[in-house]
Amino acid sequence: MLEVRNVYKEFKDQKVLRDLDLTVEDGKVFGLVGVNGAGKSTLLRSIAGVYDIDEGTILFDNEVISDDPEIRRNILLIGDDPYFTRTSTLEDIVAFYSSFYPFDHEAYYKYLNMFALDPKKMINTFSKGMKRQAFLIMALAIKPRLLLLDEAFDGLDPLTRLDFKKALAELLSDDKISVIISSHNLKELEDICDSFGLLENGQIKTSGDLDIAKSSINKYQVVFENEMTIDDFDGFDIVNYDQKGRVSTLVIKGDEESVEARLNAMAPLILDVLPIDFEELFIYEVEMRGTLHE
Amino acid sequence: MNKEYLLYLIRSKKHLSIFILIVSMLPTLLYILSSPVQYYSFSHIEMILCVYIVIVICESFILPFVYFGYLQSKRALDTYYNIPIARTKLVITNFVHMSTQIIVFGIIGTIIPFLINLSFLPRPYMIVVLYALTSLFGIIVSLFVLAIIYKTNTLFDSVILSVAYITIPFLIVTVLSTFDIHQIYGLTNTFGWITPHIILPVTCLAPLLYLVSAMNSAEMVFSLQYFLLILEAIIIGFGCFISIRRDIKKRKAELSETVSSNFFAWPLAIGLTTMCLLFIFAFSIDDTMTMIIWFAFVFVAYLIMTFVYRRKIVFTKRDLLLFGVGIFASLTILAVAEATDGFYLSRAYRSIDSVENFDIYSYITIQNDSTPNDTYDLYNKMTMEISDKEAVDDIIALADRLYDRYKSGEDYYLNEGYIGSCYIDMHFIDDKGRQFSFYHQFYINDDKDIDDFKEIVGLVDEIGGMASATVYSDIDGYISKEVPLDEVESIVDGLR
Repeated sequence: MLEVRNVYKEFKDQKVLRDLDLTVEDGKVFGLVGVNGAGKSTLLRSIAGVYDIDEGTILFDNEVISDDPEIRRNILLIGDDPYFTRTSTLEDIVAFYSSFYPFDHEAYYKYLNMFALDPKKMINTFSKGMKRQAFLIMALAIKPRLLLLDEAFDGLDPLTRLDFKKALAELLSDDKISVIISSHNLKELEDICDSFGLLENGQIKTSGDLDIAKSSINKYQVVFENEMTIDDFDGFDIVNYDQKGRVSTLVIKGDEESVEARLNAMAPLILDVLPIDFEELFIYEVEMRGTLHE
Repeated sequence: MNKEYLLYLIRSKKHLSIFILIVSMLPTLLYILSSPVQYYSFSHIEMILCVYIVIVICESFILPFVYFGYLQSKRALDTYYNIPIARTKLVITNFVHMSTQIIVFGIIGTIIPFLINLSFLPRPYMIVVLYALTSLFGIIVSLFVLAIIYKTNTLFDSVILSVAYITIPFLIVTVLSTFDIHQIYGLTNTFGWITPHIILPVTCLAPLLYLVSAMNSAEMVFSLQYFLLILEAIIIGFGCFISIRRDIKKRKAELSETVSSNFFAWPLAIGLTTMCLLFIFAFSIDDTMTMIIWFAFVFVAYLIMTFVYRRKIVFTKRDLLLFGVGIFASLTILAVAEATDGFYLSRAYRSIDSVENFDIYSYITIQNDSTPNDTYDLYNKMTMEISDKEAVDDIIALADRLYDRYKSGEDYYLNEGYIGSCYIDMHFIDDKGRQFSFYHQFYINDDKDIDDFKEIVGLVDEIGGMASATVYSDIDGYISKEVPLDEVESIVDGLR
């Protein structure tokens, strides 16, 4: 289990992570989301041991993640732009990682075939997506207890994304393996993540089970005889409001049944409940800390 | 050290290893191919060993950039700081692999011609000492470069600053030399004893090259200075090691690919370079306007260095203040030096008891209407002990005379309408080995100058006498003839 407690990290007087708390249990796939510059990469690198945190602690299985190789052997970071030398081939990368991590060569060859990559070709000649695939194969062959993927899906075509999700699902058949994925492609994250954290201003503002979070916010399309305004919906925890003629579209936080009942009590002509996806949840959560649309 | 990582390095850097082996063996191959066996001699092996030393030192300087370049790449650090290996072990393993190749391949490259030429060498066992010392100095050079890599954040900065910190000692020596020449009257090579110790990065080659020649010499004499240089190199290496050890844990990954603002990186290098340049010009230039112009050039150099450091044209009040402090410091030291006769180092000749050798050269160019530009070349070289107290006092009196004219500044400017010029160059060494030299040029403008010249000539005459004079005239060319000094004096008197 990963525990991040009261972590601070600043770069040249700019606080990136402030009093950040986060827990990821074993066997979970955690989606780390946030706007650009929120600190997602910083958090992942701090967990991976690349950055030294200024304050706080990061624990893995109740041990502080430090320079101790034994603890770090359980953690693998695949960055958004993985490193390799100019003449490296996939075989060279395998030789490198297998020097430090337990390496499942059988899994390596299986995923190599799945992604159809040439292990003797220089990685420098691969496309962006192929480079990403190459390092994802490493991750799948190493099977670390904690896998950190920064911008995992970017640059992958839809078929490859599908293959990768299948491979990740196989990896996660081991209950002990946890994955933290940061990505801007929230639609992809939604398929595989069971929990999420929204990073904003250096802190996890919202986190928890993804399905529960989604079900706590719903979109309601209501039509009344007369045109309504936002003031008419006083008492609702409105996240987003849009009015087109007599059609009001509201995103309301709260239990679906009770909100629906309260809206019905206002005698609308039409009332539709529309589920929201992860991307919409992210947008509304961020907007809640800004201004509401009318 | 991490065994698995070492094995990985051996496999992954095999092409680099082959390259190092070829470079190390090339002198050997050329040597064997260029000379038949019967012509082998010590000079061949000497050449091979000298080249071996230079190659080892060069490789020790260059290879740290290859092995530790990951420290200056964000992408590389995402990998190297994440893999399960302690940072210290990562550095040690890289360093051991790098140094082992340099040392082992260097020895492999020289051992065969060395063994072939054993019969030419009176002290073949010295090769072990040579290999050991060269390896030691190679490791020290690598530690020096690695210490700079840890203080800098980009490859460009680490290369430039590595070269800068080897060059800056030469600048410091130039400052001392300039101060010596312009501010310490009389005594020469005042700081000669410290110079090799300041430019150790280059003089570290000197002990090694000396060792090579010592292998063939009948007598092998190692001076205290030789051992001191080795000790200083070890101290520098140890200092670099301590710095690296501290930085391994403290070095932050997020600094990579940013401006190298660590104090020991650009700030110190720029500060030292600028101060040295300001001192050099302050000490060597007498004219105020000329000094201002050269200070302006130094300011431009300072701006350029600051631009290279920050990668943008930004000049802060702090930069201006620091430059102002530099000017103030250089002018203050100059003022104190002038007020104290070069921090009381000038006129050290006044404590001389005896002189081991003495020579003087002077000439006077006299312009008169009938024989324009006749030159009377009065040369007297004496290399002998002068223990006669009176003679020594006369030498000191002559030096004082020249010093007084120098200090008065009256001879600095060429006056219009001068009727002759006088040039005196005097050297002597006292029994303690201190070297003194006096060079002074003055123009004969008036009777006082004529009297001064006659007095100087008279003093020289008392010391050893002017044996002859060579006269050059525009009409007759060089004529060597006996010209008694009283004739020279009367010619000079005729100018009044």
